[in-house]
Amino acid sequence: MEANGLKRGLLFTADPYSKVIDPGDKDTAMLFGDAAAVTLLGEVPAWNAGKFVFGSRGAEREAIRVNEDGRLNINGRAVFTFAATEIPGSIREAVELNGLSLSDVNRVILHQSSRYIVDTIRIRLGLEEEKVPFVAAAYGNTVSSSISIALEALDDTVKTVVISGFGVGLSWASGVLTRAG
Amino acid sequence: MLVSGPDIRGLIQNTNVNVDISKLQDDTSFQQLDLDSLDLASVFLAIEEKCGIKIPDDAFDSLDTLNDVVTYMKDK
Repeated sequence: MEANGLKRGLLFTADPYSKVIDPGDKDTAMLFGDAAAVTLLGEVPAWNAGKFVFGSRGAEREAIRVNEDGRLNINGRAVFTFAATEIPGSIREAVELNGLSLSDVNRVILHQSSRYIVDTIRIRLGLEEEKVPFVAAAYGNTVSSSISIALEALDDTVKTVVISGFGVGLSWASGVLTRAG
Repeated sequence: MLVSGPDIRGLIQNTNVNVDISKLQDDTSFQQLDLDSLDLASVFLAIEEKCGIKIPDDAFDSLDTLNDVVTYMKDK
């Protein structure tokens, strides 16, 4: 937006995975929930975005894909291993890039893929449960909307947040948000 | 590479796998302990990281006891 002189925009996310999930696939059928989110990007933000780090392991793209029959197929082990081994380092890198330490961060908001993966990453970061919440128990993995929805659940005492998204690609991004004002 | 049942039990205790270690004998089936696929992925990741190896998916699917894992690791 900055590069094109744009000052306000709306970012929509909507991934209704119910359209591609096989109800008989126990590895996916209970994980996901349909949701959408919209975020206003502008010059009077609620959160200021700091620096982000990005990455992708294209060689592992088959771990999450929609097959020719239109059904979602996930290699749970591959996705778990990717998240457990890649995301903690990405978060530490993002925090350092923003001149912070993990102790300066009030919350780490992970993509709410599953409680198990969120807990695994949290344990590998050596952080307590309050700092790395799992808020999606009632509605599941909402894919690209999960972080937006989790941010909405934060109260005003939370000033500095690391967000980290990961999944299809297999790709990831981590960065720091600080509350404006 | 030599690893023992106690070695692997020690690794499991450092993961977030919810299992009663006292019930995990060397010949206990992982299935009998209700370890789901993510629990097993967590266990095998701990082994991989400790031993510096990769356990391929076909081996992952076939290893069902600590004895299976110990035998498998002897050839690595």
